[in-house]
Amino acid sequence: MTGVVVLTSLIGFILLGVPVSFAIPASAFAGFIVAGWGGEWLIVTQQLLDGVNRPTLVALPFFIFAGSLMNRIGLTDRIFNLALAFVGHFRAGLAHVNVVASLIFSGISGSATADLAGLGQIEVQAMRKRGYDHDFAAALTVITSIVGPVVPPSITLIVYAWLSNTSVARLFLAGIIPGLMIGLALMLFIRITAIWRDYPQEPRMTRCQIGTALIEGLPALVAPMIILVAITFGLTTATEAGVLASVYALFLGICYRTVPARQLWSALTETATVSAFIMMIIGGSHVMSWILTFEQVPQAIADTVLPLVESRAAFILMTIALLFVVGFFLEATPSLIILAPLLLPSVDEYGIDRVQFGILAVMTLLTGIATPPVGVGLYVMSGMTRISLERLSFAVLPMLLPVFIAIFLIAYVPELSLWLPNLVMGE
Amino acid sequence: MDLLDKILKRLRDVFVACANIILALMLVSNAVNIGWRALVGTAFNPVFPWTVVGFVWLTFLGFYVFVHDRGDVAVDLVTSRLPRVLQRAAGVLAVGVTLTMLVIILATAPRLISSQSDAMDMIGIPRFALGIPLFVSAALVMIVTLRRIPEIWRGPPEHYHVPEGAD
Amino acid sequence: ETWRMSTQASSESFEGQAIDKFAELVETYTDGEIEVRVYPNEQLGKLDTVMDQLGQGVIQVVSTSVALLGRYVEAIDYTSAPFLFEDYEQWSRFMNSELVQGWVSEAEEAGNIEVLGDVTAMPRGSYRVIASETPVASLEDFDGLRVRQWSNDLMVNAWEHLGAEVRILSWSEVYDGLNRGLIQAVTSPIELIEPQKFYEVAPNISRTNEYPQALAFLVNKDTMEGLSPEMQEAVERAHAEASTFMEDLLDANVEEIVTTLESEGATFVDLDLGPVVERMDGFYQELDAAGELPDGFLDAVAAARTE
Ligand code: NA
Ligand code: NA
Repeated sequence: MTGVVVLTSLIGFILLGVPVSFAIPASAFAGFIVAGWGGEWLIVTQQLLDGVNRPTLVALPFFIFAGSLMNRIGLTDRIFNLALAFVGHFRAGLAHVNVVASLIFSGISGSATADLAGLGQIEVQAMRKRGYDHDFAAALTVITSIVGPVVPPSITLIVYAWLSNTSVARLFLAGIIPGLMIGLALMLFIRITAIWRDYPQEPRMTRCQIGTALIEGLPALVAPMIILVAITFGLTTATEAGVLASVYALFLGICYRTVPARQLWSALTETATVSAFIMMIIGGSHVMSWILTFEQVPQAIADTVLPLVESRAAFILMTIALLFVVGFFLEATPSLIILAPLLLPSVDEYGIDRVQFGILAVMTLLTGIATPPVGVGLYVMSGMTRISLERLSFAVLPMLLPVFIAIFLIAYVPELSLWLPNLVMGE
Repeated sequence: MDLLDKILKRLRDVFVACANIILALMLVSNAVNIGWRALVGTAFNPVFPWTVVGFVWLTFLGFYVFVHDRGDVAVDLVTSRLPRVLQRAAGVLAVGVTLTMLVIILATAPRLISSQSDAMDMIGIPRFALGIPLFVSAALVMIVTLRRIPEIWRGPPEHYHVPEGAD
Repeated sequence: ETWRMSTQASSESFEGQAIDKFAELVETYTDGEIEVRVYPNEQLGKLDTVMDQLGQGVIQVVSTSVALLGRYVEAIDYTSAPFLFEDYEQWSRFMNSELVQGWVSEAEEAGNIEVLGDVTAMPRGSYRVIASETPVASLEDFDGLRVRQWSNDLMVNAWEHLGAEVRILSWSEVYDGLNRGLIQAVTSPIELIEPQKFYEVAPNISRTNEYPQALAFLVNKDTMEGLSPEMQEAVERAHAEASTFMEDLLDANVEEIVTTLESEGATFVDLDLGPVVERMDGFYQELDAAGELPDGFLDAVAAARTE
């Protein structure tokens, strides 16, 4: 009952035009009233605070700041030229760049929101300048961000390792091929879309032009490398990596003499507003997740759904459907914490490898970033680009298809996730 | 009501300034910490816990700023197709929901402050200090929301997102 | 009535099993009048928040380290001060001293809670260890060792006093931090080395007996006082039996944990604790001289150690 009220009031509030940062906690509060906690207002504020007070997300403003600064110092154009030099002569070259950039970035950060915040602005603007639909560019940027937590390092996979008593190293290795597969699936999708949408294809550059683009774009390529090296050699935590990116962007700005103090100030302002918006949504979702957990709504769903299946193939299908639906409303990590213990007994019973299942579960839950009504990726992108939530959601919809093809392959071909860890670490 | 708008705008600028200074401090202190660790080998351990505090404050200060700047995301898929009367009703409901949440936050402030008076580890200041900017922002957001009620009455509901092409 | 109980442990862990046992026994002994619904894995929120909810009666039971009562009475922080006691017995005597019992009562008052039974009845783990990249066999090996701690002044200062280079990291970042060399060692109860897979990246394990840990069962005061004496007695009995269950579980499994870890490639290192404890004595003397320790603390410690 509580679950139904929370979910319907959420959809209702959003459709009636309640701003999302209020609609989410308000629907949670509706659940409080139904569950008989209407008087316990304090929990709402407490959970809001708790949701924002999250050390693992501290990297967020740093990556946003780095992205904003790189935009202002003209690094966007340089990246754009560089991409043009290499894949511009492909159909929809920049769209491919969007995918590849996220794959590179996913090796740095364990969080999809950090990917969106750090790269999103640059990717969307570069694509838009070259005549891509604004919607398409923004939607692609949202969907590509989900590879972040599949490719190692990944905060979500570490949580799953703990829940399922599996090896982190094994899970990290298992995530690599599936992460690349999502990337590949999206690139194929782009290739096919480009046939009927007329996406720009640039003339092949001359050697001299390529050389110039390379030299000018080099500083942009160095940024992820610095971060990668710093993390690999243990100089920073993944959380601190965003600081390095910011410092580097600042350094370039000084070199190019393109950051007057006013620009710096507005980059700070933009960062503060964007990260505040993201975090207020996350804080609000935390309130919602509390009441749904408290009333054991995900358990009730799992208890209803699980007895309906009797074969391994059906169980996998049901799990994918369940996690996809849960992703509409909850973030990946809390969903995993609630549902993994409920699903793992069946996983063992059907003889599914826990590592493979982890990759599958995490990937499916991550689509929640890009699905309404609660999709942090959609909100961030909508706030950033001013594209309305509904238009963005529709634009993302077809892109879920290649992602799900990848998910189904991973679900029914265990080797895709297990081959690499078995090769490196033995069976 | 020009004066009220001016005050709200001025407060927004003050909040921006505070948030920016916090962010700058977070960046500088972490950069120094990373560099110091790499070169000297020792760490300033309180930097990270303080960064988390800064992060929370930044969020809550920014809360007022993005609402003031109409930076929230709202959907007008349904409301834009409604007849005028229902548009007004939806607008009033949206304001009602918003105000309810703000009232909840503000009404719980005293109890929250009294229940979270223990000091945070390595920070030394009480836990409720994290929430102070939230309460201040919530009060201001409330004024802004009330101030926008006439807009709902005048025209089609003014949405919180800036129209396309504004950037 | 339904009691909601929050815990950090997963249901598969020893702690989780003991909590399930408690839930089961409460139901049995109260003839089904009280049903305990357990929320594992911090599902209901971080400890601070959960404790607030406990005080308010939104949830009825929280199981957590006794040391967490330090949020109400700061002195309780010092009950998990590292390298003060040689074994659980000594610590247990200290915890049951008048001094500590006084603090606990104060905390119960401040938090609107009641601590079930004996605070040291349920050990949280067998003993603490340090898992490290290179073997830690002597006090000298702590020198410059990058050890992970959580943000707690006492822990940080204590480990720095041992010569370690302390890094603050959240628990979820430890594995990755070890893997990349950001840190070289982590301290933990032995029971968590296997599930957290720390041995994969820090295969040398030394027993430190850093500090004994007990799991306290905290019940909302109004809930407890609202029960009839028979019901109260039933809950206390369930707690006492669950504690015995936990002790037996730990005893039965600690050797197997060691064997499992060894078969997974971990090496157990003998660490000479004498000089470590000696060095730490200096630390506590300094703290005491600076007036940082609670009144009567070192005396109570000494009494418990020599009894
Ligand atoms: Na991307
Ligand atoms: Na990643």
